[in-house]
This record gives sequence, C-alpha cells and structure tokens, in this order.
Amino acid sequence: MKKIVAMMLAAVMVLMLFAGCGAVPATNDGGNKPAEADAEKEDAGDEAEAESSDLPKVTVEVICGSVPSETESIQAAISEITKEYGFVVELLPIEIGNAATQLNLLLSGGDDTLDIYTTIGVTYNTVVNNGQALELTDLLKDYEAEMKTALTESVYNSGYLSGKLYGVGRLLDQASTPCYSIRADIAEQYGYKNGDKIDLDILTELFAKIRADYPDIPLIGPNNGQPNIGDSRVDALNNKLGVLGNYGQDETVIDYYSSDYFKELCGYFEKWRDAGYYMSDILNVADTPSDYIAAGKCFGCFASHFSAEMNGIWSTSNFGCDVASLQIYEDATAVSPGAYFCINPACKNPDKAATMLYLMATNADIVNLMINGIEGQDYIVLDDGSATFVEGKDTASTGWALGFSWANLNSSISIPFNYPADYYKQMLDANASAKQSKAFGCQFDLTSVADEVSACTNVVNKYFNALEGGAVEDYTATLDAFIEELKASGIDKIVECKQQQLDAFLGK
Amino acid sequence: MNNNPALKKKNRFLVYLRQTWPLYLMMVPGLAYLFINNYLPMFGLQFAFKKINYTTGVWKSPWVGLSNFTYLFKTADVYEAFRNTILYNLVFLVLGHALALFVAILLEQCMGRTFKLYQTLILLPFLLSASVIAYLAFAFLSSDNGFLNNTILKMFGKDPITWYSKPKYWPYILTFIHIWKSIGYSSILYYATLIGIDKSYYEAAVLDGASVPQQIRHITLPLLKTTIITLVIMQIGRMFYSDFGLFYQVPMNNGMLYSTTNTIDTYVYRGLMEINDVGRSSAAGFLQSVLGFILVLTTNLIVRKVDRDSALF
Amino acid sequence: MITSKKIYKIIPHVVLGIMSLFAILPIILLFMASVTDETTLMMNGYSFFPKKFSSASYEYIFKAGRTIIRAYGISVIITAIGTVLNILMTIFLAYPLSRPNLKGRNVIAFIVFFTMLFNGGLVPTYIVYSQIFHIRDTIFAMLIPSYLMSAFNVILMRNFFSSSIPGEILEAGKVDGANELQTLFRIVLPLAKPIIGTIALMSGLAYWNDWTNGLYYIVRRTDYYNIQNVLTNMLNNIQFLKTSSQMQGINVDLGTIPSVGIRMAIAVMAIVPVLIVYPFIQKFFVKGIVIGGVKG
Repeated sequence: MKKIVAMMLAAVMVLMLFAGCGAVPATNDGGNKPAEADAEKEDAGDEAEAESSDLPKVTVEVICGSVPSETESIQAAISEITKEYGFVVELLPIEIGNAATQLNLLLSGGDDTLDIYTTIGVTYNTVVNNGQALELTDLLKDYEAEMKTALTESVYNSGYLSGKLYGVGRLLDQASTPCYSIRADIAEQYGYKNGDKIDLDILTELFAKIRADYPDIPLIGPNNGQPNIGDSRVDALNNKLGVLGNYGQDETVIDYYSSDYFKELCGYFEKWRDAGYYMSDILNVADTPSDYIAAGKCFGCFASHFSAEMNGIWSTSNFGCDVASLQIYEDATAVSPGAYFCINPACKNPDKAATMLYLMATNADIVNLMINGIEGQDYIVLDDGSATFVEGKDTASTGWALGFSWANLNSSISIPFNYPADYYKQMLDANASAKQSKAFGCQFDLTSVADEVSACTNVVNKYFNALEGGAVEDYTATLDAFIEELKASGIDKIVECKQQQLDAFLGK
Repeated sequence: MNNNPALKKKNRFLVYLRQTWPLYLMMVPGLAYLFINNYLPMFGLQFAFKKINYTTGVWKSPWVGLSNFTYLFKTADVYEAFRNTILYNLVFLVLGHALALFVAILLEQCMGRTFKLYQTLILLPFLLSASVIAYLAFAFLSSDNGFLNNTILKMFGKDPITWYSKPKYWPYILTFIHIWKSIGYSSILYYATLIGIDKSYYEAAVLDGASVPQQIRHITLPLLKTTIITLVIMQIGRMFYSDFGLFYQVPMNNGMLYSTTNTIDTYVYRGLMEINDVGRSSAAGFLQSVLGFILVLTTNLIVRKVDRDSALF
Repeated sequence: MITSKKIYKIIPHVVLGIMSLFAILPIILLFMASVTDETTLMMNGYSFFPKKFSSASYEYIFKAGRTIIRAYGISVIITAIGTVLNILMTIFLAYPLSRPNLKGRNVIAFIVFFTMLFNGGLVPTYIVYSQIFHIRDTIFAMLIPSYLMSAFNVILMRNFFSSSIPGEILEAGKVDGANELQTLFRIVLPLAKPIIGTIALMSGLAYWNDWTNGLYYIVRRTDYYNIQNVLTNMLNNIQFLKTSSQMQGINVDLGTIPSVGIRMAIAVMAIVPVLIVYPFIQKFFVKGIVIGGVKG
C-alpha cells in the first residue's frame, strides 16, 4: 500500500514538473516549439516578437513532411515584411500525414488557433458547406485586381460558389498528362527518350518488344498503391462520377465508366493482362516506383504530370536511377485548381488575414521565405537562377527544407529549388497550352445527391482498380456488372445534378 | 416524537448514509471522469440528425430528420456489409471466447517459468499495428514470394493460389488473424479470474478422484460463468462495429474481396471519402450503437430471467 | 491412471508451445525484414534467412536522435502515471459497485456501461477538451483523454470483487472496527492482485500503443509527442512522399529512404520496450496468484 502511495506521489510530481516547464515557453513564444529547436534560434524569434507584440497576429498553416526546426526565424523574417501592413505572422507547421485529421478538428468552430489554411486533406466544397470558410468577397475587394494578375483571372474566379468567394485558388499545374515512366536505359534501347510522345497502341507494341527480350520482368508497376493509368481526355469534375468528354470541350456531362473512353482503355487492360505485363499483386503491394524500378523488379509504371518531360526529370532525381517518361495523349485538359486557401470563420482579424492572403499570392519575398527559407542559411541561388542546398547540407540538416512548394498559394513566383531555372515558366506555359475545360471554375455541390455519391464511390472502389490492374478474369462481364451496379446506385442522378449546375455556370 | 413514518424513514436513510458515505465518495473521481470524457461529448449525438454548419454552431445548425441515415439503406452492398459485420462478430464471439477460455485453463495448468514464456509470446501479436499485420499477411499470402504458395503449398505439391483475388478464403484468413492477434490478450482476462478460484475446491475434487476434464467441467466453468456472461454481453454491444484495420488494411482494400471483407465501417469510410460529411458518419455510428444497445438489453433481460445474479445490471 | 495424469500435464505444453510458435515466427520474420537490405527485400520478399543484411532502416530512425529519446521518455512517464491513476480510479469505482447492499448501484453500473455503447464522436470530444478544459498542447493531453479509465475495466473489476471476494471477509473486517477504506486496502486489494495486474497490463498497453491523443491534441508542442507519434508520423510522411510521385517540389532523394524495412523497424522499436518490461509485470502477477490462492 505504501508503495502505491509513494508511486502515486512520485508520478504526480513528475507530471507537475513537466507541466511546469511546459508552461514557461508556451506563454512567451506563443507556440511553435519544434522538436529540435536550437536555443539561439529561439532567442532570435522571441526578440522579433517582443518588438511587435502589440500588433495583431495571423497564423498560417504550413504543410511539411516533418516539423522543421527553424520555424521561428522564418516567421520573424516574414513578420518583418508584414509589419508595415500592421500585423505579424505565426507559422503553424502541420505534417502532411496529419493534415486531414488536424484540420477537421482545428476547424470545428470557435477555435482561432489557425487563421489561414489550405484545403489539402479536406475539400473546398465541403469546408464551404460546413461553414468552415469565411466569405472573402468583400474582404479581398481591394486586392482583387492584383491577385487576378498574379494568379490569372480564371484561377481567382474559380473560388466563387453561387456568387460568393470563400477561398483563393492555388496557382499550380492545371493540366496533368498521363505518361508511362520507364527506366531510361531500356527506353533508349528501343529508341525512345524522355518526353517522347506515343499512344497506347505504340505503347502496347513497345511492351511486346521489351517482353520478347526480357521475358521475366514485369512492365507495369503500381504507383500510389494502384496502377494509376490516368485519362487526360476528360475533365473528371473532381471525382470521375460524371465527366466532360473531349478534353473538357463537351458541354454534356456523361458517365465515364459506361463511356467509350473507358471501354477502349479496358480493351488495353485486357490485352496487357493477357500478355502478363502487370507486376503480380499490383493491387496489394505497397511498393512504390522509387523502390522497385531502381531495384530492377519492374521496368516502369504510369504517372501524371503537367509535362511528361518534367515527370522524367522529377523521377530521375528521386528514384535513384534515370527515368524516361513517355507522353500518352496529344493534349491535356486544364481543370479547376486542386486546392484553395481559406480563412477560418473564427479568425479574430479577418482583414489582416485577407492582407496575408494577398501577400501570399503576390509578394515574392514572402513566398520565397515560406518555400525555400532564408537565403544563405537554407538555400543558395545558382548562376542559372535556380536554388539548391547550402554546400554540404541536405534535407535533414537544413532547418527549413519543407519540400512542399506545391502546398503554397503561388509557388510560381518563388525560386525553383533543385529544378531547372525555367521550371515555373514551363508550368505556366503548359497551363496556357492545355485545353481549358468548359467546367473550369465550376464548383459542383453534390449535397443533394450525397447518398448516390456514397453508393457509387463504393461501387467504383469495388471494380475500378481491379479492371485497371488486370486482375479480373472476364473483362466484358465485369465491365457490364460495374456499369449496371453504378446505374442501380444512382449514377444518372449524379450526372443530372452536375449537368444542371454546369448549365447554370455556363449561363444557359 | 418518532411516530412520523416519514421521519423514521429519513432517519434510517441517514444512518445508512453515515455507514456508507465513504463508498459514495470513492466513486466521485471515476464518475467525474466518465462525465467529462464520455457524457459531455454526447452532445455530438445530435450531429446524426443535423446538417452541421460550424459558423452558425452545432446547436443552431438545422435539423434534417433522418436524411443522414438514408444512405445506409439504399444498395445491395450495404446489406452485404451488414451481413458480413454480424457474421464475423458472431464467429469472433464464439470462437474467440472458447479459445481464450481454453488457453487460460491451459496456462493455469503450467505455472512457473514456462507459463511466463508462453504468456509473453502469445501476447506479442497484440502489440502490432494493423498496417504491420497487413504487411506480414502479405508476406505469407503474396502470389509469387509468399510463404504459403512458395513453401507450404509446394510441399504438398499443390498449385499456388492467388489469395488476394479469391474472396472465398478470406473469412478463414481474417478469423485466423483476429484470433492470432487477440488470443493472448483475451485469455489474460479469464486467467485472472481463474487464479482467483479457491484452490481447496480442486483439492477436494482430487481427493474424490475427479479427472482433470471433470474438474474443469464441474468446478472451473461454473465459477467462470459470471465472467463469461459479462464479457459476452459487453461484446454483444459492439456487434455492429468492426475492427477497421483488420477489414480495410489487411485485405489491402482490394475491391475483388469486398463480398467477404466489406463491413459497415469500411463501407461508410469508402462511401464518405468523397463527401466527408460529419452528419452522415455520425449517423452510421449512432445506428451501430442503437442496434448494439437493443441487443444488449435483450440479452441482459434473458440472462436475468434465467439467472438473476449473472445479469450485468 | 498415472499415464492419463501425465497426458494432462503434457497437453498444455504441447498446445501452448505450438501457439507460441505461431505467435513468434511472424515476429521473427518482422525483425529479419527490418534488418534486410531494401533491394533484397524488394526482389526476394521476406525471408527468415535474408541474403543481405542492412541497418539502413535503424539508421534512418535514429537520425531523429534526441527526438526519439525524448519521445521514449514521454511514453514511459505517461504510461507509468496513467496506469497508476487508471488502477486507482478503477478500484475506487468498482469496489462500491460490487457491494451488494449499496443503494443505487445498478443505476450507476448502467451509467458506467452505457459509455461503452454510445459516444459523442471525435469532434465533440475534441471540442470538450480543447474549448472547455483547454488541455490542448499541454502534457495533460497525452494523459487524460480516453485512457484514464475504461468502463470495460471497471465492470471487469467489479465482477472480480463480487465473485472472488467472499462477503464473510468483509463482514469480519467490519466487526474488527475497520472503516471502509481500511477494509478495501487491508483486506480486499491483497486478494485482488491478479485483476489489478490484468488491468495494469491492459491500461499500460493502451497508453503505450496510443498515438491518437498526440495527433488530436498536440498541434504546437510537438516535443510532447510520444514514441508512437514520432514513429507513425515518420511512417506517414515517408509513405506520402513515396506515393505522390506526381507532386512537384519534393526535395528528397527517395531512393535512399527505406520504406518497407523501416515499417518493420518501427514496429520492432515499439515492441522491444514492452518485451523488456512485461516479465516484471508478470512477476507481480504470479506473486498475486500465490497470495490470492493461499488466502482464498
């Protein structure tokens, strides 16, 4: 008995101790005590904040891969710039794997921990529907013109939902073109190089030639846990339940899975299955291209990027072997932005937060700080104008190497990091040359058909990957069953609902 | 003076309280915790009947009747999911408890060092996360590198089986994995009760010449009856829930296996991925709880009729 | 007669031996996978006798260095404190409920049981803890939500008290003039060691395995993360980096990060401390048996 009481007391004391030392930094630095912060850097952050502590604070979510150690000096540097606009900035790093859960909790009402957030892990339509995004129409009035120039008018306008603006669309690659990535040495052997254009017939021939020479090595591996063979001929309208055909140029919404597009693809899947090109267990392995391509377990996989050439460059620098990406379709469809930047309705200083949104879209210094950190400390600029690590440092030893430029509102005004100097120019060119879908900027609200969406999503989960992964025995029968079950689950209602909203959007 | 019956009653109550107040006081921390951790959040039960808007607030959000529930009754897939959930839970209930009891009795038979070793080893799988178990399962079931195909089936001269495309094997695979993972843990529950049994019962039985199986049947099982009933009733309350990790990650979310692996929880998860609707997910949870509650009340009522002392409440 | 007795002595060892083997073999496989070279793992699959060893997975984990050690510290402290508090609260609630004459005990038992069936869900629980009790980003966030007491354990312990502690013992205590607390600590608890050991184990494992409290309630003070948080985050982030190959601007040489091996190494790192501590808990367990057995 005495033992238990003694243990209890000891336990409570330890706990108090913990709570005690926890309370001290929490009150004076207002948060952000990263796991491995250096004492000196912390001091710098504290000083900067002490000077400007009377200014209101705007907290911005920063997506990261692991909590960086330099958060305080970066936010101090950004605050230096924002001070003249009358506020300071706090950065709140959220690990990408936790973003969905933590955002849902932080936005559950009345909590102003976070002022500006990105719809990564949550969807724009849902946050607006749930009342988790503040209306910005009037708040951004003064900045509208400049932001439209910086982000392009179509991207900015895509944030409107029934005439009201709730979020600012992210400027990034709008069109993604499917490509087949293969080890560069193999591609070269058959006369192909990175960025070449092919089509599915040529690809099937290429497969056959490679197979003849290398009978044991599979050709199609998984990407992201599934075959991931994209189709840029349609605008998926968010979820592929009801799409726009002909590179988004049609104005009639159709059911993708019963369309000729998908039927044609299934024909190829069946051929590839028959010839044994798929990696075995393609639907069940968690292996990623960077694992198996370099290891020689499989020659290639499908991927999507704004340009096949860029995908090859990206893969080469990440997979540990040279990769060539071959573009499958002639064109790509430009679709609405994949993420929006919103303000939490609980935000105490919405006008300051709106100013911050404006700066995140237009101020290159702030964007560079958020993406690349402080020059000389976190990155250096090379002669060609691109950035790279400081001599002798890498991701782990650099204090602000988030590697999540795509999670920013306007990365195109930042310095490309470990990429060709004209990377963002190429991206913007690709956006301009892609066929812009008729539905670009139309935000579909599927609440009225939510039951059908949930039923159809289950049906798609059941059949789609199996078809795409060459894992079904009888293609014709399975495809028929798939289409029939979709019909029974109400796909037509979803198509109709999208059609109505599209018509309204197009002003019909 | 003390003629007033009401007053008398009051006095008796005061005497009762004077004797027992420490017992009531003792319960305060625990009940306070349940109030904070479990009862306060129950305001969330209304989510199931509302269209939540966080700006106007949970309380002021509009009521939508039962419309959050409709998606749970629409398609053939949902019925399949309900069927799977109930059948798996029944199998897990019967087989799980029978085996846990069996293992507890065996553990009790071999005390000392070997007991420690066995108990530690069979508890280990309980510590693995669902994703690691999924990887281990894949190590055994993968079609080209898997142990079952490569070693065991080969040994018997059988053709390899593509496990991940044959739904018919999965009820056995999932049951095996569930038992493998949980047996160490659940047997400890019975074990604790077993070792509390008065040893003199057994000594007397041995003197009477009872064999080990007879001892188990006539002493152990009757004494364990209350524990068994309690554990079973508690599990019946979870009859419509399923272990998400086991049914989602272990079959690798493979569409071809849905007919035997889809449960209510996985169905709801997949269905709401697109719309991410807190009202609809609350509705599913609410339905699962209510159905479980009805089952528990019924079971408890039956138990009460048969044997009053074993009832849970 | 003698032979059949012997058989009953052997059967438990045979059956439990086989079960232990079933339990341990996959775990050995897990360990071997964690020290297998990633390319070998990819090409040949899992093996008890890998062709090429590598410590890359562990090296990657220990790059996090101090973070890992601190997280282990948090895990140990929270598990220890949480378990002790859990046991005390469980005893204090379960013991009165086991007393047959206590008025209102059925109602209270039902109140306890009801929490096992219905819960408000994640968002409402989060709102209660973050907006009423303000425990977010404090060490209490790792301790209090969900695991401080479980209705299941209360019912289990109540059951043990009422079935295994004879009423006469309690009466005898009363005659001696002991008050309720004295009866509980001097008479009841020594007899209840097996169930205390069980609940200590269950509560300890729940705290040790938990990563949800850190995920839900720790946003800024990531130095309060426990070992499961650090390990699962590491895993999630690698998984994300490796699978989103179309994402631009990720500046990591993915080829050098182990992925399957690291998963296994992480599982090993979470199991090992339990393997070290468990025998000590068992000692308490077995001691409880002897005392409980003799006195009962």
